[in-house]
Parts: sequence; C-alpha cells; structure tokens
Amino acid sequence: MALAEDLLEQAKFLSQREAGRGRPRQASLRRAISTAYYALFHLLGAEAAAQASPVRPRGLRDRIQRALAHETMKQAASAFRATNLPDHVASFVSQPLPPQIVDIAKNFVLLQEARHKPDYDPAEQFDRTSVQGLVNNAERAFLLWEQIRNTDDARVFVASLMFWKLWSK
Amino acid sequence: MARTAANRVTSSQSGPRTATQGHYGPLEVVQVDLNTRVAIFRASSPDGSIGPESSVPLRMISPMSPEDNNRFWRMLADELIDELREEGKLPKFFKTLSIATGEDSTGEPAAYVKLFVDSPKGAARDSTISRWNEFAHLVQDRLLRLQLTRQPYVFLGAA
Repeated sequence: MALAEDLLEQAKFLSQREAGRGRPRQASLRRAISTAYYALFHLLGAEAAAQASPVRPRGLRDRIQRALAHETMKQAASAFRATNLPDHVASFVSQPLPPQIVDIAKNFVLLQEARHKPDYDPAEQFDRTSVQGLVNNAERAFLLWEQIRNTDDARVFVASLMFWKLWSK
Repeated sequence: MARTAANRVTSSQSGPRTATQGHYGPLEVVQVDLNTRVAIFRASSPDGSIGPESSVPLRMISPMSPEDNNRFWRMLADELIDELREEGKLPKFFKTLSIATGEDSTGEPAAYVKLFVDSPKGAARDSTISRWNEFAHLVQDRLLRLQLTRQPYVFLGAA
C-alpha cells in the first residue's frame, strides 16, 4: 500500500504549504484535494485487486486494479454510506454494518465529489480550511481501514467497489 | 408537531414552492420537522390568500425550481442547526453555512452544505481539524438520516 500512503503524505504536505506567508497557492490546495482522493482510491483499489487476483503472474494484480472505475466505486460506496444495500450484498455483511465501513464509504464519496472542482473547474477558489478538512477525512479513512481490513465485512466492501455494477445484473 | 416554530414561514412570507402527490394548485412549504421527517405546506394564491395547512413526508416534497430547491434545503439546514443548538451540540467554532443544490459529478441530485468555521490564518492543527470534521460528519449524518433523494455533501469552509 506504499503508493496510497505516499499520496496521503503528499496531500497533507500540500495542504499545509505556504503557511504563514499570506494566502496559500491555489495549485497547492487543488492538488491536495485531488491527491487525498487518490490516496484513498489507491488504498481501496489495491485491497480490491489483492483480493481478486493472485500475486503471479507478475503484473496481473496491477492490471486488475486498473479495471476499477470511479463511478462504480462511488455507487457502491454511496449504498454503504446510506446503509441501503441490495439483498444480494446485504446477505454477506453484518447488520448493522460496522461504523468504520460506513465512515470510510462516506469519506470516499465526499472526497470523490470534492476532487472534481479542483481537477476541472479553473474558476473555483479553495481555502485551506476546506482542504485540510478533506485531507483529514482521508487520514481518518486510512486509520479506520486498518481497524477493519481483515474482516469479512471489509472484504465484501472492497469486492462491491469492484463489482457493484456486475453484481446488480 | 414541529419541534420549534423558529424557522416557520409566517403568513406574510412565502415558502419554497413545491409539488406533492395528491395535492393540486400552488403549494408552499411553511415548516419542516426533522424528527418526524415531515413537511408542513399550504396552498397559496397570487393575491396573498393562503389555504389550510397539510403535512407530508419530507421525501414527497418536490421543489418547483432550482431556487425553491435551495430555499427548501436552507429550511432543512436551519432547522437542523437549531436542533443541534438545543441539544448542546453546536460548537462555538461554527459561524454560518451556505447551501447550493444541483447535480453532482455523476449527475445525481445533490445538496452541498458548507459549514464555515472560525479558523486560524495559517494551517490548523490536526486535533482542531478533527473537531471541525466531527461536526461536519454529524451534520451530514443527520441529513442522510432524512433519506431524501438529493444526496447531501457537507464540506468545511473558512469563516
């Protein structure tokens, strides 16, 4: 998970840059938001790929991770955040869902939505408070993931991130 | 029925215009109750006369225009803030909020709530940001609990 952790560290660094020297650069704030999202995206993506693929042949797991789609992941995470799961998923998880998974899902959905404006809207202005809040959400998701990553509920969650649309067939 | 009348639209004001199944004519929301998840609405007419009040589940409220959507979500947010204040859960660092409604990045109906907090000039400490986020999560959880079609996204902002 080194890439995900490195991205999180970069997001935090960028969110704190230019402190005490007037206003932070918009480029730093924009990249901090986007990087915080991608940190969590890669954390969960790597877990999903590791679960779905053997180590060998080399490179297969990376290829499978690339198959993850942002929109599918958001759909799955939205259902977990609202604790509104279809029967074919609900039957595999604890009731109620562990709060860590619901919280991670909420942060994923929020970060994915948040990263669109810094990535695509040049007119939008960002302030450090909102950016630090988003990076903090990503950090929290990482901590929570450590608590539940070896549980069946976590396995169903990452499988849902990968297969949500296919499962609904 | 409602917890407080503080955010109630008075007879001289107009609330967000809405449509709701089984009711006809120009309708406007006058009050929302987050505990019972109910909206109180009344019929209105251009000459200012108003009809009797009725109530429906919040999820059945369909604001007529983008502006009405914003006003409806403003009512929900103001009511929620009052509720949190009464529960002693409104932190001192919270100053105000803004509402915007529209479609999110995947085209789904969304409501963006920005909570403006009293923040330092430079970077804030981790413990401070965690406290801000705890409050933001609380607001988002309460809004999610309403199970409305429009999905809430709650962000922080510098006051």
